[in-house]
Amino acid sequence: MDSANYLALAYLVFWLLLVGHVGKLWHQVQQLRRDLDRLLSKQPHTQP
Amino acid sequence: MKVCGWALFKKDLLVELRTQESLWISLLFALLLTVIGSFCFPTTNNLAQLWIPGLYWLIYIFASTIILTNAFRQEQSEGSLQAFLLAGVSAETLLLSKALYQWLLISMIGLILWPLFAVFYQVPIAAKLPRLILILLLTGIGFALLGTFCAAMLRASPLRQIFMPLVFFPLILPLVIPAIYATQSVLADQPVRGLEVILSFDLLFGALAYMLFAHLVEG
Amino acid sequence: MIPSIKGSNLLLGLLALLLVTAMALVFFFAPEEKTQGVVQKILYLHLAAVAAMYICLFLGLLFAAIFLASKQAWSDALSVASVEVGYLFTTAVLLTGSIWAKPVWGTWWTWDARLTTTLLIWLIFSAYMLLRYHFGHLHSGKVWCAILAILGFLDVPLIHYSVRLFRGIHPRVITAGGIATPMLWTLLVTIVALLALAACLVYLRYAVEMLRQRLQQFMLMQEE
Repeated sequence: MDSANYLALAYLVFWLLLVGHVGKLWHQVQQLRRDLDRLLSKQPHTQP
Repeated sequence: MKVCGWALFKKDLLVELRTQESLWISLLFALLLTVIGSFCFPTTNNLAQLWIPGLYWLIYIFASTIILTNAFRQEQSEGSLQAFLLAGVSAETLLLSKALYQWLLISMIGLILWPLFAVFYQVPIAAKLPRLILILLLTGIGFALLGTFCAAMLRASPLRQIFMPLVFFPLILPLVIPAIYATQSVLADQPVRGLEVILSFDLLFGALAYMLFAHLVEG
Repeated sequence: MIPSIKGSNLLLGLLALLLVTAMALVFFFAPEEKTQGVVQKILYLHLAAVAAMYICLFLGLLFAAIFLASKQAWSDALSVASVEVGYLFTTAVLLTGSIWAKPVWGTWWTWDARLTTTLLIWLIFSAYMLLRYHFGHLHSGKVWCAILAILGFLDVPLIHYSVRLFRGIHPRVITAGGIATPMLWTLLVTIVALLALAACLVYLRYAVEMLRQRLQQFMLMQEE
């Protein structure tokens, strides 16, 4: 494999890692959003 | 406090002498690994001598981890830990007495392992046994302290058997490396190398475990 | 949704600018190295990742200690966030280092002290991630993770020392001949860029953790 390809591979791998990590964060935020919605939707039922 | 520690240690010893649960299982496991090892590695030629120190400690790691994982099994099932703490036993005493007992158990495994190696791998150890035992006992101190600590950390977890190796193995590695090299130097008829390193790590791990143990049991 | 800080868009823009600048410097400004050729440019990323890794893991230890002492939720959240980002950078260090090693040393992996230590760090904190995933919602789980963050990071110099003592040192990467000025600037900018990135990621993860804990509390209250 050509030398420059290794260079490209390294940076590509790094950015992929980063994107994956941010994706995981985003997924966690979505989960929180769902949980919050579920929590809020329950509110009217608990009021007297 | 010292009296408490001894009492706890003797209790553990008595229970083990009566039930003998941990010891036989890990002895059998050690024997099994020794046998498997004979297929995995060349054991009948000169090359074998290269593998022996590493293989010994590899088997020791696995067998001792089995024992260490269950260090607090009895206390956990009976809720004894909280009882001891309420009775005024310090967390550190709990750690030290349990670690002492564990050290005894895992050292016995290591002791049996050498005759097994002598028989199955034709390792001439007769004259070297005292030094090999010294290395075993010294390394066992660090193993027992850190292992007991990790076992306490995971005592309530149903996934304990899996997590113990995951957590324990990487942490104990700095101790295993000099142990292997010390063993290697003895088997190669050289002066023993690395004992000071083993001792320093024992002290370091011991100090860390001692300082942090209270946090583990109070929660 | 995420608790925002004043001017967060501006900060994000600055971060993006930093990263783009760093990449531009690496690829267009930094000179090509004599012996290694273009591949040497991986090291800017690799070394910056090493800096980010150690700083994040150290912060993880710091906040874990604060959490053990104070039992306050924010310190646990910051500790987890720092460790997770540190873990990300550890992965990056291992991967970029390996990719650099193949053309330069001829092998994807070697067992010298630095590499072995980094791999051990990765293994220790892999256990941390698993532990957190399974038991992070419990207080005891948080305590275990805090302890592992402390023990794990303190073990790092021990591992390094132990391996070096008995395995010997690999030829040094940065020779004593010094580093050319454009290279130095590129390296510095890249380090700053990655540290800024790390800070941003830590903050995001921290915010998620705090929200998660608060939601958990509300949910418990709802049950009653």
